[in-house]
Amino acid sequence: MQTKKLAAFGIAVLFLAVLGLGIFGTSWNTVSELPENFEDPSNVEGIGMLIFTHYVVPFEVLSLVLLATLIGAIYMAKGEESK
Amino acid sequence: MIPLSFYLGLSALLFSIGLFGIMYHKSGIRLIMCIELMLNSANLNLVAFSSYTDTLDGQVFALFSIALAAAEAAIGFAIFMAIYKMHEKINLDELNLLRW
Repeated sequence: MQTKKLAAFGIAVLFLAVLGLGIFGTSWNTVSELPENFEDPSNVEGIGMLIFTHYVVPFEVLSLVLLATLIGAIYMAKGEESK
Repeated sequence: MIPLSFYLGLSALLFSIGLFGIMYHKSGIRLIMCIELMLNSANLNLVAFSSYTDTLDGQVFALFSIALAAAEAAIGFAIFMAIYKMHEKINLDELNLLRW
């Protein structure tokens, strides 16, 4: 039991070290000042406009995926009488 | 202004905690919790990049990822309910045959 825990912990720490080196090593070209949009502070309007203009297809496909998930989950979790 | 790499470091930390949790835990419910933790750390990355490059695409994609995480969790729990009906307990170490 103990070796499995140490192995899992070791792998997670190694993964974190590799990722941390990558993150703190590269210089991200970010905007100098965080965007502060006063007329749409929580940018809900921006996201709404983006969803229904640029990302319409993924949005509709997402609804199909959720519908399929709903049907699948209900069928899988059916009670005894479905056998 | 907080440099972007701090947000990415935090999300990497959350991701590795989730990774450790997946490798270590045996019960199915905790496995789904760790998967949700990893997905949320990815969402944190998406939103951090979206705000630090002044575009909204990252936040839209984070929205889609949250919806898909919910769908995945629902299917995971449905599967575990089916498993629970067979074995009375969800111990992932004992589930070694695909056809029960």
